[in-house]
Amino acid sequence: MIRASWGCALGVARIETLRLLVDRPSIGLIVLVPALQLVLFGYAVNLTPKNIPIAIAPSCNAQRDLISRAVADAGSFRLIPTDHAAHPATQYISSRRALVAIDCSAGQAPSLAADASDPSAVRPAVATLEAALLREVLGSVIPEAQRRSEVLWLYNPDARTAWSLAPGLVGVVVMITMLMLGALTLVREREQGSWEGLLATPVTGLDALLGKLAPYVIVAVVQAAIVIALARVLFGMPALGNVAVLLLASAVFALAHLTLGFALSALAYSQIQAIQAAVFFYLPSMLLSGFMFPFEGMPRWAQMLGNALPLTHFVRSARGVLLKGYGASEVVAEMWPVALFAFAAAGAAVASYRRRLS
Amino acid sequence: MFTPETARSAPEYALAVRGLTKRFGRRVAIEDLTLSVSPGEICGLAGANGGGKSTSLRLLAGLIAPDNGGGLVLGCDLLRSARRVRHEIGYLAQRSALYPTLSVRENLRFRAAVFGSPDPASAADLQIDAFGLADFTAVSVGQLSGGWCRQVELAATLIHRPRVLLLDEPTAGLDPAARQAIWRRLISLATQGTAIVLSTHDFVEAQRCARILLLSEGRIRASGSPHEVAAQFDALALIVSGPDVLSLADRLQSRLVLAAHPMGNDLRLVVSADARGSVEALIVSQGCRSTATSLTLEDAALVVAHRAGALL
Repeated sequence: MIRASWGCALGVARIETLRLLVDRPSIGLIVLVPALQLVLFGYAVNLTPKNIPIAIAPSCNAQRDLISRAVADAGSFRLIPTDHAAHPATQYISSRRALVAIDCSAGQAPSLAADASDPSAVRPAVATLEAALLREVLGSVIPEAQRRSEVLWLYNPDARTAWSLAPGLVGVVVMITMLMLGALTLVREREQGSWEGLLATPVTGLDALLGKLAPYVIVAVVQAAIVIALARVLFGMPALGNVAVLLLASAVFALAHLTLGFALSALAYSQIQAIQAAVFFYLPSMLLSGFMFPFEGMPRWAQMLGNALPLTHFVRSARGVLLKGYGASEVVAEMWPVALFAFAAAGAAVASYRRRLS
Repeated sequence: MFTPETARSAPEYALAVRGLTKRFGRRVAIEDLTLSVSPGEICGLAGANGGGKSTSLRLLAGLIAPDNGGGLVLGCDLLRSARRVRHEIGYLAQRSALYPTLSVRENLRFRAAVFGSPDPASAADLQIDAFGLADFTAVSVGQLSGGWCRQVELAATLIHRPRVLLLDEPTAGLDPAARQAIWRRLISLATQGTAIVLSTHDFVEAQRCARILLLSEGRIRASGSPHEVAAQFDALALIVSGPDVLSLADRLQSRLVLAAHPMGNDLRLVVSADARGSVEALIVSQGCRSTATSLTLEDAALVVAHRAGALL
């Protein structure tokens, strides 16, 4: 029969507590991670987005004042300036200038178009806008028989949650895997003892970075391809754009997180520290990227922080390629900050490569 | 006096450094390490744990930069060409630097590749033959015994035929047969002209070196051949025999006796030269007898440790 000995258990508890107390980075992260989550959930996440960019097409000029008042009454929108060319409303959305656009035809009710690739970002606000339009515009100028507004939901017309989440999930899966693999590379070797042997060879920090991370980049691309393929098979998710470009983008995205993980690994004293630091990075990434919560609902400071995170750009690229038909130019325009991030993280990783031996 | 310039004009030294100093925070890991090693010479860095042996080897290998001092390794400047130094030397770390989940062959092949071998697979096979590792080619390094693991590490360290070998505790934890196998290899390399610097806290091992530096608390306390080092201390050893010698050791005052340890039924005492008379009188008064003998290297290290206050 196994019996617990309080003396032994207390002895183990004491030594474990002492080990934790001397591990200052871990204590810092134990305090910082919940504080960070509280701040982000409390201040950054907003399930009723404000400042959604909306465009009123020139075709609505005759009723612009009334429509503008309805938009103001709805309270969730930010009017973007429109030019005088007779663009259809959907063009403001496809060019990524607006998430919602209003078009008018003579004698007809104004029609709405909305980017539904992330339905939670626009659906509640569009419902409010429809009510305001009925009240402000339709009631005054449109015959009663035609008082019916229609919304053209673009990219994800049935508001399928799977279609909205799966593109971002490609990024989340790759981010977590690569960050963890990168974070464990050097610190694992240091704990095993093989790191000093590696340092004693002509291998430079850059050699180690390239050599250690290259196989993982291939793993990331395969991982991204598997998630996309499964989403297509299981949820019938479309792939309207250039998937090859998205896979290339996933390689850059993976590299950004691998190099960051490598830098954390070079600085960490133990595997647990490296993992904690990785978690400290990917939690805000998931909250601020627009993957889980509407990006437009976040305050400006949180959006600026979100824009500095690679996942934000990858989520936009993945939704763009899969749901909106993005090609290479749109993906490059979205992903260049990620490449910049990877470059900066690689510099930090190479600089810190030899630091821990001292 | 050694300078990089004189070293260039004195190719008889494979390795020549002067005044190497390294501090970690306030702690001095090694201070003023001056050393030159000729091709074919085996030089030992001996001393207690924490004496500065590993830091010295890391400095010589270009793994860490010194705070002061400098030197040449095979004509390469230690400060300006650390990568070149790492390319030219063989460095064996104290802890296993092999990948335990990979096979012997994969580990050797990796080392050959990073040292620029045009045919890493053949280079690995050559080492497998040279070190008699054919039976373990496909075995994971983690499954090898300590002795075989060290042999594989040495094979990996030598895969690019370095002319300077820096070995951190190469035989630590090995049984006598495994130690002998390593030493046979080192002697063979030395006769072929390889300069070897190794560290050890085992003074029996240190006595196998042609020349040693006795390190304690980051400073060189003595240098020369093992015999010369032992002779540099004004102390001697007494072999005490008689009834109840162990209780005699207990009674002797530490200010008179620097170290005492049993040798079978006898007792070996290390005493300062000026305390010899007092100690011998005490021994006789207890009904025992003593014979004076010269210090061994380990005795010398105990004298150093005692005088540094490091002996418990």
